[in-house]
Amino acid sequence: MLKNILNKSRQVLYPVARTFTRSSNNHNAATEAVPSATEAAPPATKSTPLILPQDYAVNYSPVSRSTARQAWIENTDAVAERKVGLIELHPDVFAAQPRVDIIQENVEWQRKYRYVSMAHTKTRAEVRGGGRKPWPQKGMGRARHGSIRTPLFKGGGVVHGPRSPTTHFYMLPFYKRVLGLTSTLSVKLAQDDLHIVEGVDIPTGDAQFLKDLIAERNWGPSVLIVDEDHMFPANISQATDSLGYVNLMPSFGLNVYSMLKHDTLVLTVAAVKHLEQRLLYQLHRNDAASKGGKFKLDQV
Amino acid sequence: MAHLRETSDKALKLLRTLPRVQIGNLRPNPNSKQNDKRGRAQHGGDKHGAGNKGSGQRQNFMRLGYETGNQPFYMRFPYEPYYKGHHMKRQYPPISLLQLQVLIDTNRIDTSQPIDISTLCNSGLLKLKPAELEYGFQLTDDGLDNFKAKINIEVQHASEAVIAAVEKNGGVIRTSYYDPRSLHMLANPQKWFQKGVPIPSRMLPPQDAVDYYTNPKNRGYLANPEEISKERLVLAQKYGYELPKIENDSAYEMLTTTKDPRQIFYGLEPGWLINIVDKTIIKRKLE
Amino acid sequence: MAASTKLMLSTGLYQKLSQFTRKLHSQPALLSSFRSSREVQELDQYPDVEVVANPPEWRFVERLLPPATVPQPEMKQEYPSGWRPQKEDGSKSGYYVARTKNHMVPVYLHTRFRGQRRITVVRRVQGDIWSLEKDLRAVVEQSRNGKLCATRVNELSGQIHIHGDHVDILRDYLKEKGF
Repeated sequence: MLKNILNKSRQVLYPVARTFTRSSNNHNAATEAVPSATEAAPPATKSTPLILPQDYAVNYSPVSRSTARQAWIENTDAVAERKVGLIELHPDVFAAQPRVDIIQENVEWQRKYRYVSMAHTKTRAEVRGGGRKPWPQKGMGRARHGSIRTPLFKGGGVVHGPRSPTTHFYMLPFYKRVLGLTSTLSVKLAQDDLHIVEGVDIPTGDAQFLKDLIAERNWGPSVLIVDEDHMFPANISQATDSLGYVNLMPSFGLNVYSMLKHDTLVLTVAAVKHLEQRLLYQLHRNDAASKGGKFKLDQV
Repeated sequence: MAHLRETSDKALKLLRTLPRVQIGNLRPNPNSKQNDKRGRAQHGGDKHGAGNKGSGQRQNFMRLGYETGNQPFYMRFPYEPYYKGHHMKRQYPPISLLQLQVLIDTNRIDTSQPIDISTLCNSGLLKLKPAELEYGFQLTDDGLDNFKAKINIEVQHASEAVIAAVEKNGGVIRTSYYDPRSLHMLANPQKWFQKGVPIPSRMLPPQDAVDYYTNPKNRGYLANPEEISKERLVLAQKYGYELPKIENDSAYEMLTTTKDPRQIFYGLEPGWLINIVDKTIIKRKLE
Repeated sequence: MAASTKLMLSTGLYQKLSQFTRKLHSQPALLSSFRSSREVQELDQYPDVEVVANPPEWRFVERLLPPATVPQPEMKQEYPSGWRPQKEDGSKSGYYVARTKNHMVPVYLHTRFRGQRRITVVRRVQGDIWSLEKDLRAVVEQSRNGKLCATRVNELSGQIHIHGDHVDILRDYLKEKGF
């Protein structure tokens, strides 16, 4: 009986909240800015606590269930913190071995793979001039030279100098990238830097509201807010627009560098479920062998 | 099971007492990075770890087979017919009966359906590379005594003992030829369906493979079925087992499922176009 | 006529031609391009087709699609290959060796120095790794008629390294214990 209710609360209550977001999203932000602040009355479902157990039959069974993590689901409709519900997190994603070395490799990879060095030096052939023999081979009492742009000369060419563009592109092995994500999520959760909220609906588009909320809850200073949907509601987009240290990101774009760049990571329930589903799929996929091997530029 | 996941739990617990893991305080594992600069002068400038003289410093490994000036062995004899055309020969990567049984036991292969190349490749553990002239799998006799599955399998090569092992358990085995294009399709059917091209028909075997695939002793797919059933009995007598009657078997239909010699996939005819997005099949209208 | 054919067969031209046809045969995509493909014709030039939704043959297509994730093994009466599903959860012995994603026992052989050094590696150990190391060492030493055996334990990564090739013995032992 209890389980039924729990399942119901997961399947029914949550989509209601989501559709509410979408409808407010579709309207023009400018015309809706004022009414949305007043309209954001708490939905009817708020009174029931949102308890989301992990369904291990559907999801992938973990190595050990005793290490499963539980986290509070917090509200976003007011500055004051209120616990809306409880979510059970999959241990293979949120309590994985914290491989700090793999996190470091991910950070290094993210920095390097898109970096193109523009440092450039000219060789003796490229430096202007130097075609003429500066002085005769013999009879001048000076050392023999064929060009004034040899590397021996001041203002001459450079041997083995940096040549641009030099790409530093490489790919980290696929499962190191997966492990980097699970490790970082686990580290963030262990260090109390991961918070789960019910959604990204805030009552106003005022940045001060978000500032107060972050100060009240001891988040931050820098905060990364992640939702499953890449279309964020107007209010939160407006509020975070002027705050350089509060950023929004869809869960498909979540990466190790951004998680570490921000002090606090805030995930919505939908983002948590999406991340769990994607990462557990990668950890259990049938064609995992095909993800190994050298990265080819034309691979699909 | 409170003790399980002890190390990761310990590590996470330790992290709670440590400063926040950030970009600024990460560093690679000690000694994991190789320094690409060599030391100079007094501090590390001496031999740079290469030792004194010789191949340690020069790395002058000779090319394979080189005999410091002698006519190398591999060039001494002008002609070795055994290797003639070896780079053109058809390859049949082996899978053993033991491997097959493990795949069945771990539920990677469904024995209630006929098994062919695509079943083996879809297990995710075996790979076929038609571009490297791999023309299918051969079933080898490793783990022959422990093979207990009743299967309908189609491979490209099988020895007599393997055929006996499969048929002893009431199974059916066929050897059949696929041309490289069909093998490309069978190696990853899902990827091929996504191309949106009609299924072609399978080619007939090349001349040097006709003998093998028309021989009922090899259970060739071009052999006379009556002769195959005769050979089944002959093999049962030779190896001394009683041939299980397929006719009385509950899985009779599955065991007798075969492909047409021009057919690539079970149940799908050449000329059809499979749309896996809309779940439709596009067929030619019959006049 | 016959003489000229013979001549052709013996020349390198024939060999090249056969190589070319073989290449065309084994790598059809290599020589194809959009230029060599037929241009789009009028619609009435094409045969009539029908699009069959929910065709009865769809089960044959489904059979060809691989499973997304590694399937869970089924409980059976016997497993002739010697593979066994994991039974033990480690509450008795105090340690636990988790199966791999493919439901195999994680015992491997590492060879170094061109096969001169062989090290058996037991991975994915959780719980009291030291008592497992003691048990495994006893098994290996018994198989070596009491000769001592060097081991190395990495508690953090949950690995035990045992000198020598004892993969079969240890894998059987762990399976017997239910891991």
